[in-house]
Formats: sequence, C-alpha cells, structure tokens
Amino acid sequence: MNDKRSSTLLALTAAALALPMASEPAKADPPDQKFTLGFKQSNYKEAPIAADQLGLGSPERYTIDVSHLKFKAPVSTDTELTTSVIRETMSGASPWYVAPGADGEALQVMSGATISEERTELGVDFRSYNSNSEVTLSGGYSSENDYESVSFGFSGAWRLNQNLTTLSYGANTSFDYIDPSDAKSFDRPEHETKKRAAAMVGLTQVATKTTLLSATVGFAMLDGYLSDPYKRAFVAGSTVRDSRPGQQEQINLNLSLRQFFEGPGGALHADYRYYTNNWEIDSHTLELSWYQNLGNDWQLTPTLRYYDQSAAAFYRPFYETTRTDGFYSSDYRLSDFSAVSGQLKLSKTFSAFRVDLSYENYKASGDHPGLLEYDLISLGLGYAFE
Amino acid sequence: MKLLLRSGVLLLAVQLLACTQVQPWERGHLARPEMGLTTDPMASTLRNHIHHSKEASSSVASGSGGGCGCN
Repeated sequence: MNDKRSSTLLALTAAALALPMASEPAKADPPDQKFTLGFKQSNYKEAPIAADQLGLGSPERYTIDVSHLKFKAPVSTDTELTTSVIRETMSGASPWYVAPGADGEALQVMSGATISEERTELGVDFRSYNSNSEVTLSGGYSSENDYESVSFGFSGAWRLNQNLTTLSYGANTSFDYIDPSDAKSFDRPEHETKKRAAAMVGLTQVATKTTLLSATVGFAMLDGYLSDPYKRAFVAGSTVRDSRPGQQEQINLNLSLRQFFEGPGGALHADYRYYTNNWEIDSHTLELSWYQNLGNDWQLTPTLRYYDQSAAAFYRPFYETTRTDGFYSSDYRLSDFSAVSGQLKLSKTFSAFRVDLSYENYKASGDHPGLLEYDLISLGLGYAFE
Repeated sequence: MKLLLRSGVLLLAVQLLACTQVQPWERGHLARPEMGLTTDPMASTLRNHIHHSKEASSSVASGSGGGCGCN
C-alpha cells in the first residue's frame, strides 16, 4: 500500500466531502413537469462451469430475474420526486473455493446445494432545479435474508458559460449489515458491517454543434468487512475463510464522448474508465455504442464493451503455504482477467409510450476456473403523461 | 498523486476544448435523447449492479448501496 497516495486521497476526499454532496451524476436537463412510469423486466443467466474446470459440486450457476419499477412525479414547478423498486429472485450454485487438481491445475469447487434468495431495493430521489443549478437528495435501502444496506447521497450541478459547461459534484455513503446464513455450520462470521464513503466531481462540455465531452473523477473509501463470507481459500492442504484487508481506497476516472453524425442520423457513444485501488487492482474499461435512428421512431443500438483488470496483491487461485499477512482470497473477481461483452438493443417510441428489448452476452477469460459467462435479456416499457 | 494531477489536467483539457461558441439555436442535435450521457437510466442501474457484483471495479458515479451481489 502506498501511504503517500493514501494521505493525498484522504485529503482530497475530505475536501470533496466538504462540498455539497451526490449519488449519481447530475442530469443536465430541467424537470419536464411530466409524470413518467418505467418498468424493466430482465433475466440474467450464467453459463454452467465447463466440466474440465469443475472440481466438485454443481456446474449450474446463477439465474436472476429482475423486475424494476420507477415512477417520477413533479412536486412543484421546480422539484420532482422519483421512487423506484427493484425485486430480484436468484437461484443456483455459487463458487466456493479453488483446489489444485492431480496435475496442479486450478479446479473450481462449487457450493453443494442450490441457493434460493430474494432481494428488494427501494430508492427515492428528490430533485430541485433552477435556471443555473440543481441538487438531488437520494436515499436507498436494500434487503436480502443475509444482507441489508442503507445509503444516502447528495448530488448537484452548476450550468455555466451559457449552458455550454456543466460542473457536477456529489457524494454518497452506505452502511451494510451482513449476517451470513448457516454461520456456525460452515465456519462463517456471524455479524459484520461495512461502510462506504465516496465523492465525485465532473465536467461536461459542449465542444461543437454535434459533440459533447465529459470527464469525471471519483474517490471512494471502504471500511469494515470486505471479504466474502460464503467463499473459502485452499491453503496448504485445507480451507480457510476468505480474508481480505478491512479497508480499501478507490479512484476512478471516466471520460465520455457523444458525437452526432448528421449523414447516417446516428450517435456514437465512447466511454473509457480507469480504476485503481490500494489492493493493487487496476482496470481499464472501454465501451462503444452506436445509436442508429431507423425512421418511424425505431432505434437500433449495438454496444461493445471491453474490460481488463489486474489481480489483487494477495489473490492466488490456491496457496501452497500460509501468508504472513493472513490475507487469502481465491475469488475470481480478484483475479487477473479480461471480459468482452456485446449488446444489441431495439427500441420504438410512440409519442408518449416507449418499448425496448435488449440482449447482451458477456464472457470473461483468464486463468481462474470460475470466470463468468452470462446472457442478459431485458424488456423495457416507459410511459410519460401530464 | 501523479494520477490526480493527470485527472486535473484532463478536466482542464475538456474545458479548453470549448473553443467554439455553440449558440442555443444550434443545439438541436445535442438535445436529442441519444446524445445524453445516460440514455436509459434503468438499464444503466442494472448493468452497473452486475458489473459491480462480478468485477473488482466500480465507479463512484454508479451510485451507492445495492446489496451484496457476492455470489
């Protein structure tokens, strides 16, 4: 860990927190004084683990059905309230630990029984706007049988330079309470907590009649139980609890381009993100989308995403010997891997009504035997009225 | 520290790129829905939650909370 960088980060985060704060980037558009209702139904399905990568347990992985309902209503001429409910139903087996095979290869051991659980998330945003600025207060609550999370956020924006420049800022914090199932039977911790504090600042600039540019920098600090209670690590012939440092500092830098092309009547979206944390994980994400207008208010949007990350300093697929710092994790999410995903979305707008259908395939590649492949299908409906 | 300096320079560069004054009546294309930074917030919420749950990285801008996602 780099102490100098940590102290700089702490000072900057403290300074950013002193600003009025936020949970997501502020929107540049004013409230439209309309009621809007949105619904999205999605199915997320992970591919089974290949037979030659599986050590023990079920090859079947997670399937999640997600229902998301969102309603926005104007409260006064310059304020609006948005409420949302997300309901997830999950089932499947989960990666447990990685064990060495007969030839020393890494094999994924999966949880024995099929897990079934549900998650409900509630969110509220109150947005206030005037001609040059806006602020949004946010609150969120998420509940599962073994996990609860409460979050608060404050975000805002100033429009400057004849609305050509938007300065956005924000901060949010969350408190998580973790009570793992069957803790005593499976040597899991019984009650744990986690805190997160984050801040961001961004600039969006109209560069030409058809070009919009944006840059955002974010800082986050996590403190508490950052391990996975359901995972174990194979260490010198036996398994131990997944055990990670109790603190993490993160920095992310996002750059975005929006370019409209008059000839084909479409828009290019290019987004790049650099992420780094003090567990020595660095990542690069590049996403490109093309929004093609097809006439009669049809729109087709292909998207390509490339993601690459390095491994956490203490990560190993399995450990031949014990570590002096006591940190162990064989979670595929901390391994060195790349992922490519492609998405196709078709949408149609009928004056006040909108419908869209999308399909996405994601595939990760690297050395870990438990890396993911999934399919995501979503149907979205939207309706606006006064 | 180097990264923070670079971030500051990039933010400044974005500001300096505003070398032309685009008048309000010339912003028709910029006002189109597909020119928004986020075009489908509900889809972004879902995809950010999946990426946050299945990869080591997350953005501050992607919001707070959201549950465990630890399977």
